[in-house]
Amino acid sequence: MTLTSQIKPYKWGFGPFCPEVYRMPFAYCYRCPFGLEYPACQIYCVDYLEEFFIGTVAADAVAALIAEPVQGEGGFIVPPQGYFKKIKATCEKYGILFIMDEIQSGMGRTGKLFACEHFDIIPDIILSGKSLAAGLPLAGVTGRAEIMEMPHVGGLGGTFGGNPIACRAGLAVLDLLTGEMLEKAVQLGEKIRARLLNLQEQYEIIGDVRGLGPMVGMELVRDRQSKEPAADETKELVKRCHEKGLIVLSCGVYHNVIRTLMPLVITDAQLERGFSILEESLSEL
Amino acid sequence: MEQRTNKELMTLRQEHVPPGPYNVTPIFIERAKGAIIEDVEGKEYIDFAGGIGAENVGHCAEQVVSILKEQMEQYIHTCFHVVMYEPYVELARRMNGITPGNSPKKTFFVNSGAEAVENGVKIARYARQRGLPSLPFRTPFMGAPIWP
Repeated sequence: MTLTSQIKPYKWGFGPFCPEVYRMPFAYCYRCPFGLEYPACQIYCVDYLEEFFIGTVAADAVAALIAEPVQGEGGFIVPPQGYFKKIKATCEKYGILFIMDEIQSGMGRTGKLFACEHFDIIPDIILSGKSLAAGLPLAGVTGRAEIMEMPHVGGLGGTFGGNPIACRAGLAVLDLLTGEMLEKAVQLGEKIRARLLNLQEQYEIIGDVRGLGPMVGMELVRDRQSKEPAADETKELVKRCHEKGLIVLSCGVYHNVIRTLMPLVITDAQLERGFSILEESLSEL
Repeated sequence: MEQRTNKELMTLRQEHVPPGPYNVTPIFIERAKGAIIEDVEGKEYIDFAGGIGAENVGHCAEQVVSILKEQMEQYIHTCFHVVMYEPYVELARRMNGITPGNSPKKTFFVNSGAEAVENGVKIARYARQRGLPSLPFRTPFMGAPIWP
């Protein structure tokens, strides 16, 4: 929770938290924290890290840098190509370990086993979870052997960690997430994207459609120029969808992004049924 | 158990469960398969949520269910630290093979993503002997325990 940036509801009233955790602005290009535009910006948000190490915290004191390759709860934000390569280079320069949180984006969600594969980077540590065991509670910490072997015997673990049932489920999941399912995931991503871009042409409220493979977000705004977040409308949309028979989730720091996390095995007919409910609900806003 | 309606179950939920653990929909599930969820009143839903992205291979995939049944008959829990079991080490081997990078890797398992984040930070601090900060990017949710 210390690392969590969304104060309400996750942190509100639960403090104090652990000290010495620092946050950088993410490459949220739709709402660039520096008011710049890609690619003219030359990914300034990573250069900003250098200023951060001068004025906020010394790079020598930083153990690790954690990021999600595609932000999940943050609003399904996909950073531009080159972003993570630049970050990884900065980490290497200062001996900072680079941790990728693939808990939501991994296990085929973006059409590849791990989303960081899209960015051609190799993290020092990869965190997996969620779809890893098809719904059983299981998460994995994978890293370079020389790093993982450092903590002393007894320093890591717990009573239920890696429970046998969950691990068997994980093995079954890996057997299923082969080329065929990943190929289907890529096609699913294209269908979702095409459908949402089509809806964007018809509905003014859809300010942005973005994603990697079938991990797609649709950001709702009251005005395409001012980009005022349409949080109440998003809440209403989610409600209307489930009343009509579609379970869909929102996300985003402004609570105004609809995200797609359907099982990759969804049939075309089910997908179309889902989108027609989404469209009908959009038309009622 | 007697069959109750969504409304009856909601009343029970409100009476016995605090509001903190939030609910996105007011429905209770009866069964699920693939991308379809059926509630206790027999109404079907298309699932675009997958239990927050935990059902990429689909609800109740046959291969998963049959393996779980088989495992349930064999043993359920010993604790890896007390008596080890093959599925743990085999899954670790597979994870080391499929994650990006060719250098030798090692994997261990925890119960939730929040714990994975916490352990990633713990290992990084230990490895770098930089006890102070870690530097995560602005990410709105990284688990409910105090640390991650």
